Amino acid sequence: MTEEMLIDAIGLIDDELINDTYNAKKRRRNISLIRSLSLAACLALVVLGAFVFKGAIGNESVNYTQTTVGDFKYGGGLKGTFSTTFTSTSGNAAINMEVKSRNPLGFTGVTADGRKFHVRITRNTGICEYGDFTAAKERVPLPEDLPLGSKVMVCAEKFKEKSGIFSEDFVCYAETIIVFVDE
Amino acid sequence: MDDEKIVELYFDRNQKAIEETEHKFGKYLYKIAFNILSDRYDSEESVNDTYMKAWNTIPPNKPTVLSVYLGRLTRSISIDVFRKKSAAKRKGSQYALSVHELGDCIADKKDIAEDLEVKALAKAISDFLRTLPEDSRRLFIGRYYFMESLKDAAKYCKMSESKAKSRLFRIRCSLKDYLVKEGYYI
Repeated sequence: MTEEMLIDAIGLIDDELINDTYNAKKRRRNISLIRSLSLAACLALVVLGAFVFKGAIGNESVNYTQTTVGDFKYGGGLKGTFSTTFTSTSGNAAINMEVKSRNPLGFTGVTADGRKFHVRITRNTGICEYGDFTAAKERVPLPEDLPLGSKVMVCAEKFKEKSGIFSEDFVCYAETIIVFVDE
Repeated sequence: MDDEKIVELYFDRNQKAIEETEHKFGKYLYKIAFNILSDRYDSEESVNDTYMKAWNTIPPNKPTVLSVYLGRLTRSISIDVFRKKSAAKRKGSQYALSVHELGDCIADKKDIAEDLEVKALAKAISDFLRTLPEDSRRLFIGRYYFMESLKDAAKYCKMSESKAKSRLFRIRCSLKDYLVKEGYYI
């Protein structure tokens, strides 16, 4: 008997035995997935709780939920965070940010009206959607290694060149970006 | 989509069968291929060959558990690819060349007798595996059928890597004893 024969023979063992292991693997994967999701949910609750707590002790006087940068509004979200949805009111949808520092999770910036904030990139892309939301998604990679002092424009320019419908109402969002106000 | 419906698509010669197979089992098959080949492109090719083979063999075959059927195809295709690649790597060796040349004297390297022997051996191994506790059996199949890394196999058998390693060693020794008792020459 050779090793090859043994390997081939193992490949022919009964379906029932293989299926049992396959199902055990699948169950294990599902359990891991559920655990990860539960952990993520717990973490989200902790973060949420922290923000609520921070708000409750009254250290914030600024309402961040409807802040305008130039012609550009971003709204919603809890105190301390901005929503990841940006809505254009005039068609000029660029957010200009000057990069002041950088860390592995993102970079800090200054808005046109002088606010400091922090942009955290959780993955490497931003996503633009336009028109009626059913249009194809345009993926615009966000810079991963921005040089210090460079200007950052989220989504807008590339989008403009591509679509040609920039002046119309549209919603541009980057679901992978979380914007924090720098305290 | 249920396995039965996918099999029906194959029987209807509907090409959606491939699409559905890929959707449901693509990752699983790729994992098997990659465990054996450790190469992205070869693995993708093996998985594609699996779809082709499934298309050509269903019908007449009507697998009851599609995952097992497809997994078996991928495993066998990937092992063939691995062996071919290993043989190609050995081409420079005169020993390998001699063996290759002598292979011409044999009608088919895998003749019927060998085929039967492999099938009998497979039955003996299945019987042996049934005597093992559940976790040992899964560990053995995970490691030597699915070719999982020791770490991965240990994980879904809920044991540490070192425990899995020693358990596998004991299983191999027991298998050897079992096969000797069954009359296999090892």
